[in-house]
Amino acid sequence: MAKRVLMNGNDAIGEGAIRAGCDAYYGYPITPQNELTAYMATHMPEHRRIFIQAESEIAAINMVFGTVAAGKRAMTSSSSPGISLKQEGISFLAGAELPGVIVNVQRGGPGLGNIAPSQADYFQATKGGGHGDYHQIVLAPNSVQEMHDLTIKAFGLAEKYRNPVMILTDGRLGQMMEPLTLYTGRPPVMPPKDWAVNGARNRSPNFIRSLYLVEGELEALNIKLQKKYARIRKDEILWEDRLTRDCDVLLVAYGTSARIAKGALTVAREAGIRAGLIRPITLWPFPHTAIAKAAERAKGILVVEMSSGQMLEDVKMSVNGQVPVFFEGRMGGGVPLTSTILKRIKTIARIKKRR
Amino acid sequence: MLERILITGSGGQGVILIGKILATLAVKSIPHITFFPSYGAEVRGGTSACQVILSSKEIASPLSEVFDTIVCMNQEGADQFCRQMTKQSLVIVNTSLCKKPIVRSNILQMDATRLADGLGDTRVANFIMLGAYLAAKPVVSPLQAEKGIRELLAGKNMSLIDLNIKAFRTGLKS
Repeated sequence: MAKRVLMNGNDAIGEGAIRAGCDAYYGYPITPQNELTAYMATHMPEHRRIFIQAESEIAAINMVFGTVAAGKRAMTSSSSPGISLKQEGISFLAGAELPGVIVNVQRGGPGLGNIAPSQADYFQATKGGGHGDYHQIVLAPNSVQEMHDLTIKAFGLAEKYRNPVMILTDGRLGQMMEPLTLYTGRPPVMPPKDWAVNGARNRSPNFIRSLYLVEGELEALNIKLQKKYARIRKDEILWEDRLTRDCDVLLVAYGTSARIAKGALTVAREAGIRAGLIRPITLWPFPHTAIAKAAERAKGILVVEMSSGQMLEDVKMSVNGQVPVFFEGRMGGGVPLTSTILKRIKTIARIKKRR
Repeated sequence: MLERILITGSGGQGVILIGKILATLAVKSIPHITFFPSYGAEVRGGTSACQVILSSKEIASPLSEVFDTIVCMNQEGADQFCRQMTKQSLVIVNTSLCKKPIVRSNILQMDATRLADGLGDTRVANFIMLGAYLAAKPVVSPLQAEKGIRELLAGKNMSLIDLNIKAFRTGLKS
């Protein structure tokens, strides 16, 4: 069996990136993701790879743009306010169809907010963030192990689809330590990058851009992007299903909130309440069908988030008014308590069954 | 098994360090472990705390609402967290710095900072507390723990490692 090590979530992402063959990391300090930048500062040079502490978050995302345009693997990370600064760069990556991995270790907002864990950047991550009709793939780990594993997956997805991928996590998962089995496989192998701008010796020059001024060109690009997004929606949706087969109360939560929801779920089951959980692992594409199916015989759905209710909208869209959807959340760095969720589960379990 | 531990003291006392060491020592034998530091604007002298949860079952949240053991390295920590325990909870208190009496049946009083001073450095009081904890609740065998501590501190000044081990043994024997 592979050896287990104790690591915090931020370090686990860093080690995941290294093992996924990340050639360059660019970052700018911000709590609560500093351990990741520090980890890369120590370990990227040991592997003869590039680490740069950029002069700003904007510089860092544009360094990622340059590196991936040249056909190399690159990552940047920040926390909420810094991720806002990167949005232009992410839109450019999407428009130029470039891979690139962005990590958001969310903290409380809006504005500079605080340094406590939060999930208030869901809209920004899944609904655009930057300008234009684009999507980034969004992965939401809920343990230190997944922080590591999903980082490796992120590099593969980014290159498979030539699309930016975001790891959306929060300060609590970044700071907490858990045992972790390190990835010992090979870095993801992806199609040759015949599009990269890495020297046009013995071939015609490549051109990477997101500016299309000729009539109809940009529309054509958008149609192509939408076809790509349809493929991603078809093939890449991930979620965890826990005890939904017979559930009266369906919980939907991701990341840190899902960990707490799982705790409440266990206690509810012990008390004889049939509760179940769908935990989206990809937030975009979103597991709409899985939620609709799990909710078929449920009395109600309880969405748990560390926000005012953002994923809540996607869950409502999934069930299209067929099942009542309730919400339990906290804002500004607050984290829901197991006991509060349990109370809500009990209330929903008492609802008279629909016809 | 389920053991929820809170270690609290002031920044610089090595509260986070012994929490991390305890969690690391447990990796070999305990399936589920979480370690969570109080992170933020912590400075030397300010309050510092960390939580370690050791469990045979999946751990939902790394933050607990009650604790099975509370280790108090200073008075502020004792004041702040004393409500978060059950009747059975074990309290290990550093009486060198916690002067207010705590009335409990399950209490272990350690004159840790003074003992550490006697060993040559007040800063090893944390290892005395760690030793005392493992003596009371051997979640990891003390022998394995000592070996593990040596591994974890490898690379540091040899005399410093020996001093920390001496402190750990002092706590263990008390």
